[in-house]
Amino acid sequence: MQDFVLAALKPRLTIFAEAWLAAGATGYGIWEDGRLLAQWPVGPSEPYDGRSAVTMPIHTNSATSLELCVTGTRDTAAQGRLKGEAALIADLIHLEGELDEMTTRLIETQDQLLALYDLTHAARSHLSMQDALNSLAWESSRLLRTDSAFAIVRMPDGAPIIAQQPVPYLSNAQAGALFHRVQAGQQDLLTSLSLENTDDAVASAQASLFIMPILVRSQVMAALGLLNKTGKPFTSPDMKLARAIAEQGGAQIENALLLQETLAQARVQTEMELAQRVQLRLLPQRLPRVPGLELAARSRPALQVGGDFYDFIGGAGRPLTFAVGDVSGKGMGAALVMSMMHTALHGISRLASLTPAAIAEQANEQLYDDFTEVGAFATMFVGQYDSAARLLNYANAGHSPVIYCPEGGAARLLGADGTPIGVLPISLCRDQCLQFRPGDLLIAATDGFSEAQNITGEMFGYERLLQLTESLVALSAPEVLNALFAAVETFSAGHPQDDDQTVVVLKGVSA
Amino acid sequence: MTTILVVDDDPVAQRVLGAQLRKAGYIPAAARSGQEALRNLAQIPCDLAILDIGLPDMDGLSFLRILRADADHKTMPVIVLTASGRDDSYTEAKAAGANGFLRKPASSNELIETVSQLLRPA
Repeated sequence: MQDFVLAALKPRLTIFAEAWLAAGATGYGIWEDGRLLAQWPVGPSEPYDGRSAVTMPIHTNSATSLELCVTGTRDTAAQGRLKGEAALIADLIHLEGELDEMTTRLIETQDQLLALYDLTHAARSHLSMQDALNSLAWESSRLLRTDSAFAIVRMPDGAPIIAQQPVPYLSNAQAGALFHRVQAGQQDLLTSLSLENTDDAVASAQASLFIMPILVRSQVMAALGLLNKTGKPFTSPDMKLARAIAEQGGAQIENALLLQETLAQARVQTEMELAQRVQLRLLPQRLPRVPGLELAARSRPALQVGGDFYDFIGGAGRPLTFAVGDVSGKGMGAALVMSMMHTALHGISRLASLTPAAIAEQANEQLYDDFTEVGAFATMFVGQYDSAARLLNYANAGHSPVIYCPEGGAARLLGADGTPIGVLPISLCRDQCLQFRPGDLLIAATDGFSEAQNITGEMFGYERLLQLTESLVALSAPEVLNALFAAVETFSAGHPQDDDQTVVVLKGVSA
Repeated sequence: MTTILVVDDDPVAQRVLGAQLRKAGYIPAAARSGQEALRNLAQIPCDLAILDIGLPDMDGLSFLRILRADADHKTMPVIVLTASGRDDSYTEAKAAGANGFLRKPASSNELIETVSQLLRPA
């Protein structure tokens, strides 16, 4: 019987002993395998004399034999009484064993919780993934009292990050290979390994290792390994605690990932905001005043930046020349290509007074190689207004929708006769011309209008645009602009804006 | 065999500390009050004491001062246990003569490391 069990039983045994002594017995004792464990009254032990003693075995699951013994009594009832006491003592021994088992489990759980608390506490201040892994490896080694621990993460971009604390015993290749094994097997690995990466003379040829996969975002993205260089095995409670630490480590790794992604997004957001400001500056800051014309223009990108553009080019003494265009794609890529178009158009307009088709041809010539390189193209409508003759000259490099509505007449699309900029090495655009009188309306928009969808997936479409144009022909250019945007917004309510929306409105007015 | 006196009136704490010490190979001796601890120390030679600050008959630090005034136990290593989160608990314990300080609950590793460090020959 273990000492602490005897110590727990002593108060009850003392009560029984005192009752026996009060009834005239000379001694009361408990024996194990013929050896006296405790006796009352306390004093030098009397030799065991079976003739003057009543004994009773205490039946337990133990391999040793326990018995109670009362000396100095021959009471016929003594046997029965002692039998009852023996049974009670047996039950108490059994309960003490169960209590000890529960205490052991309680200690295990307490140790686990305290370890996880320490781990969480240590991880609070870590910002980078490397710091988080260093902390995880360090705390794991400390809490589990191993010679070393390593933590490895395979980042979303495929790059591995490894931490070994307090001493790196494994080479990166070894750590990587072990990670692959648990990642493939999706379960813990208990193994031994010869250490390559140590000058430690004490380290044995075979270190014992326990490696656990760590789930991050439902995938085995990481692993935690424990190493005993002397080959000391891992106990079951150690492995249980290690698994709890690994699971906690998964949460820390996920937090570090989220932080990295949030910082990256914040950087991108800052750059996007800058790009948006730059792009807004590239668009015309004011509308030119042109005799006989009322102008309105607006661009609304689908994302912070977009590929639509409009511009008023040319200079004093030249007819108003404007361009509306749509670069393939959306977002930052399209915005960068849009800035190339802007630069090309402004450069071209400085050279000479060119017709719309010539402008399209020059733009294509300058941009074809670059656009081909990046896989981009741009549709473009170039218009040029001759105030004196009230003529609108235009060239259409693959752009739509451009709608012309004469006062009192039907709206019609001005179709493209050339391919978009960057599609072919030569421009096929021709100069075209139409009379543009007071009351006439021209809407040069991008397909973000015609292709705007509602929540059922139906597109705004050309028909709707043409009908809308006819209904707006009496309004001023700014009113037409606002009505266009309002109509498309109403139509596509509940559906996100998929594409950039840009429009230039020309309204003929009396000079 | 190294005997460690655990002075704590909480029976659960006694069991847990006793089991943690036994697992590490030490023999725990229990006392549930300061008076009982003084009686036990007179009868059983103990190598170290773990003392809960909150005892029923006298506070742990008063018991510690009595111990330090006794020639036989002046230099016995004593670890003070407290559930308090106050930083000045440590300072007070040190001033009363404590050699180590642990916050409850103490992990097995932390307890055994503290005990073995104090029992190491100087």
